[in-house]
Parts: sequence; C-alpha cells; structure tokens
Amino acid sequence: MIAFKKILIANRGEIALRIIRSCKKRGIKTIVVYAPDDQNRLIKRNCDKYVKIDGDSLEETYLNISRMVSLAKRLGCDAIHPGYGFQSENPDFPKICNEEGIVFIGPSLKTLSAASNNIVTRDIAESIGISVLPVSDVLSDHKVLKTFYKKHGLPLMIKPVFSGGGKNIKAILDKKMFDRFLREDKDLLKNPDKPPFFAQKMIRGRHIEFQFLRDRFGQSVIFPERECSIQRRFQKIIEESPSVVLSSLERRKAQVLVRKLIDKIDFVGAGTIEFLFTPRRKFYFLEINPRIQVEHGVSELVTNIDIVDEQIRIAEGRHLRWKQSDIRIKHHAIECRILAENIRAGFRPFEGTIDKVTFPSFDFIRMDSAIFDGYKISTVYDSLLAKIMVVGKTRKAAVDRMVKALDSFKIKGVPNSIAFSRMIIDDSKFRRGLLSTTFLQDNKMIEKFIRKTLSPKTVASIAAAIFRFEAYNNLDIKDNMKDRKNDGWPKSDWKKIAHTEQILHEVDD
Amino acid sequence: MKLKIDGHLFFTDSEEYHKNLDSFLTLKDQEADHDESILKISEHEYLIHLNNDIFHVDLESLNSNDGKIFAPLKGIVQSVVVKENDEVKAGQKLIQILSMKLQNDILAEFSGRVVRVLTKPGRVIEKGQLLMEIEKYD
Repeated sequence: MIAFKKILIANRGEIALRIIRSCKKRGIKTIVVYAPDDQNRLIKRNCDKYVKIDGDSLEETYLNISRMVSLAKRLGCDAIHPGYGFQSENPDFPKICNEEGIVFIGPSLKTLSAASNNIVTRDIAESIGISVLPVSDVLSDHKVLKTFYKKHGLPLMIKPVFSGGGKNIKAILDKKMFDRFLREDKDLLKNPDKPPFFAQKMIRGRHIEFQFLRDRFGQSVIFPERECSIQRRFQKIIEESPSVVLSSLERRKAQVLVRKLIDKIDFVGAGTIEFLFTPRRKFYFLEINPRIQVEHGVSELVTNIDIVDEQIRIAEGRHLRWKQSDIRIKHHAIECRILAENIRAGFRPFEGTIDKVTFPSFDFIRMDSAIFDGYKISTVYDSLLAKIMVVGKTRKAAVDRMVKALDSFKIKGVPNSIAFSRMIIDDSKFRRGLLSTTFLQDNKMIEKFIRKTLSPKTVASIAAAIFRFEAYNNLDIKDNMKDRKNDGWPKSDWKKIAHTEQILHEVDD
Repeated sequence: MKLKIDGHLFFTDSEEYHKNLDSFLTLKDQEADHDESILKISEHEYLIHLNNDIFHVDLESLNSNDGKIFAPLKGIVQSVVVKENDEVKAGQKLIQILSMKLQNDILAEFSGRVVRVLTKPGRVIEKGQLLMEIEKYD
C-alpha cells in the first residue's frame, strides 16, 4: 500500500475540478495539465500546480501519454488520474505508467486491454451466461457487413471496436440507409488509418448501467442502476438513478451478473457495465466503461459514496471500505448534461464565449462545471458546459426540483441545451418514466422543441430585438445604451420598444 | 424581410407575423420579461437570450446565394459525399464534418451542380473556410 502525496490529472474541464475535489479531501496535492488554448482560471485556482503542455493538436497535448507520464515523474507525482475520454481507456496508459513507476488510477494493463475491446468483452460476457446481441466480425470490407445484414437484418449499429462513450456510432435503420452507407461511407471501413469497426444488431430498450468498485483483493460493491435512456446520437444527455423500471429482484440479479463479469476479468478500480434492458425485461450486455464516467455523480448522490475518492483509495492498494449491504438507495437523483450546442440547428456545436453564467442556488442541487463569465468554448473539445444534478425523496420530487433548477440556470452568450433539457424533463412521458433509447425520436422531441420555441410570437420578438438593436446603433444614440449590465450587454427592455415610427418603418421593409 | 433562426427560415411579411408583432409591440411594461438581451457576434449574426433560451440569428446567409459553401464550424472533414459536376438537390448532404466528437452534415441549401470541391476527408477546416462551390439552378 502506498499513500499518494501528489497526483497528476491528465484531463480538463469539469472532471479535472471534480478529481481535485476528492484529492483535497485526502490531502493529496494535484498537478493539472492544460493545452495552450485551454487555460482555465477555475482549475488554476483550485489545483496546486497548473502546467502548460505546448502543442497545437490534441495528439501533442491531452492525448500524449508519454508526455503526461514523464511530466508526472519529473514533478514527483505518485499517480496519474486519466479522467474520462482522451486516453483513459488506452491500455498504453497503464503500460507506460508501469514502465515509469507511476500508478495509473484505473484498471491494470491486462484488464484494460480486454475491457476496452468491445468484441472481446462481449465474448467474455457471453461465456459467463450474460445475454449478448449478435455482432459481426471486424468490418474489414463490405462483404462482412452484407453477410451480417443477410443473417440478422435491420436495424443495426456500426460501432468502433475500441472505446466507448457513444463516439463514432452509426445507426442503420432501414434498407435505404443501408444502401446509402455502402455507397457513401466507403472510406470509413476501407481506410486503413481508421480504427476497426464492427456491426451489432440493434434492439429497442432502455439503457441501464451498473457502476461498480472493486479492490485488488477481489472485494466489490455494485451500485444501484443508472438509467441513461435519454440520448442524442448515442450520447447520454439525461441520467437518473434508480430506474423506474427495475424491481429489486431484477436489480439484485443484474448485480450478480456484473460481479461475475468483473471478477472474471479481475477488474480493479471503478467502472461501469452497460446493458440494454428490453420491454421483455431481459438484460443484454452492451459494453464495459473501464474509467470514471461523466454521470458518476448520480450514483454518488443516491448512495452518498464519493466514487473518485474510492478510486484513489483502491489505486493506493487499500481495502474497499464498503460491503454490498452498505449500498442503499437513499435518494432519487437526476442529472442533465448542459451542452454548448444549438439544438434547433441539429445539435450543432458552437464556438464562442460565455458572456454571463448564473448557476442555480438552492438546496439539493449539485453543479459540476468548469465554466465562468468569459469562458471560451472551442470545438476542439467536447461540448459539455455543465452537469446539473438534483436529488429528491421521490422521482417526482427530483423532477420538480430539476425543472426549477433549470429555470434558474442561465447561460448567456452561447446556444445551449438548458431549454431543451427542461422540455424533456417536464414532458408527460418522461414524468411517467416511459423511456427508451429512442425516446427523442419516438416522441419527436426535437420537432416539438422547434415548434414550441420558434412560435410566431417568439420570432416577432426576435425580429423586433434586432430592429431595435440596429436602430440604436444606426442612430448613434449611444446614450440609450448607458444602462448596460452584465459586462456590455445592453439592458434589454426592447419589449417596450418600437413605439417610434422609425422602427415600425424598418419592420415594413 | 427574412430571418434565419437556428437554421430555420422565417418570413416576416406574413399576416400572422404582423398580427403577432402588433400584439407584441403593444405589450404593457409589466408583462415584459426583463431577462432578455441581444448580442451582435458578427456583421450579420446575433445571439438573442429570450425565455431562458438562446437563439442564433443569421441575416447574411440568406443573401449569400452565390453558391459558395462555407464551413459553419471548425472541425475535421469526415467525408465529401459529392464530387465535381455532380448534380445536387436542395437538402442533400454534401460534406460531413466531425466536431466535438459529433458528426455534422453540411446540406445543400439549393439545387444545382457542383463546380468545385476545395476540401477532402481528413482535412482540418476553420469556421468560414470555403469548401465547395455550386452553380445554382434557377
């Protein structure tokens, strides 16, 4: 056992801040790295040392494992926390750490090599009696895909063999899409530089996943499930725990399967096993996430256990402090991921600067975020602005609280998903818990959102706002702009506008 | 007058629009929500905060019907679906960009013929970069 004194955090944004928080609790010093275009004053203020790594591309900065490890060594760190994304699932990370005598806060090289390969984990899951979905071999050419299609039909998914997080997944729902895929995306499969892909049968269901912790002595705890069915383009946007759908017997049964699987691959650390839960109440294995997940906070709120703290303790070689019987459902928790994306324009990411952010402040809310007034959003990094989490005694209480929280959460200066999240959370089907991974499509939520938010009244308001703004500028009556607030935003009372002939005239143009 | 709000086109010369604008312009002060604001982010783009939502309004892209296709955001070109001399229909996918882990499609806003393709898969492109030229059909 070794008690860490200093840890290097090889990540950015909210998860870097999150890891710092747990380190501080343990009295561990933190070193965080940043790319030249990504300096963050919140992280700088909170960590013990903030180190710039030069380079123009991600390959030179956040993806550069050997640089991270040599930096950790040079600065006297005991361990590296990879966070999520970037290289957190790359077996080279623990490998190079081992070579340099730095502890990797994550699974071993052997475990990670297996766990990061979606075809390998599927076969292991199947070997211990977990139901799996039909998959193809690696799609070396179109013939493999066509054979799979002939045998299993549609819909199907084309997924990368390595890594999770919903990246680069393509759904093929009908024959037309299938033909188009063969025609258009030829280089996706044939390009030798591209990572390997495989095909998987797609079925309807809910996304249910189980967070676990397992120490090197083989003791483990499996958390109550998280339901993450609300997804856009295979990436989760709303997560909750527990799910409305599982009975406690089904939960226990699934937890037994999860324990069997992580024992089998001798997984040491924190991770998650993802399942699809069908309307016929059957679990199908999807993948293992061998790292901290974005939505880990939901499980922390439900159980009052600090997962990052446990992750560090396990990496130090300590015994797990918890038994399965300690893991109780204490609350209902929900999380919304707030993204810098223009939902109405098809979830288009936006590059810009946050002008003013106002976080909600009342009880039973947790905000994990690294944004502030003046924060610059770059499309080089993911679009996550904030994770807003609430707890309630019941699901209804949590949902009601989330609606209030979203109403008082304001981000100005960049298109974001606050209003969209609010509409989903307050939707009658969501409230009744009628969820599936195709919830947004099935309920035409995006179309509904566009219709609702771009009503003729809103469009008129928008047009008038622009007329008024331009009228001010053109008339050069800067005096009227004196009542500025929020760092340069004109105080907006433009609903009162337009009593002037001038502006009405402009409307007529 | 036309407005492009978050990629959706609106015409402000309809009767419905004027009815709404009228009722809107005569709103009493106390009905006004005071949390609105407007930010001009370029010569022709605005961000408007209204109903705790943000609307991106673009006035120029409506006029730039000269057939030039510009990158709407920074990213990496994943695939170019059409080639020179291809005929394209309005709404058809032209280029796929990977940005922030997400695929974004650039669609043709009008029908025409592809004259020039100025990018290829794997290229890193900057926002506003010229990617393609299309000869517009009338």
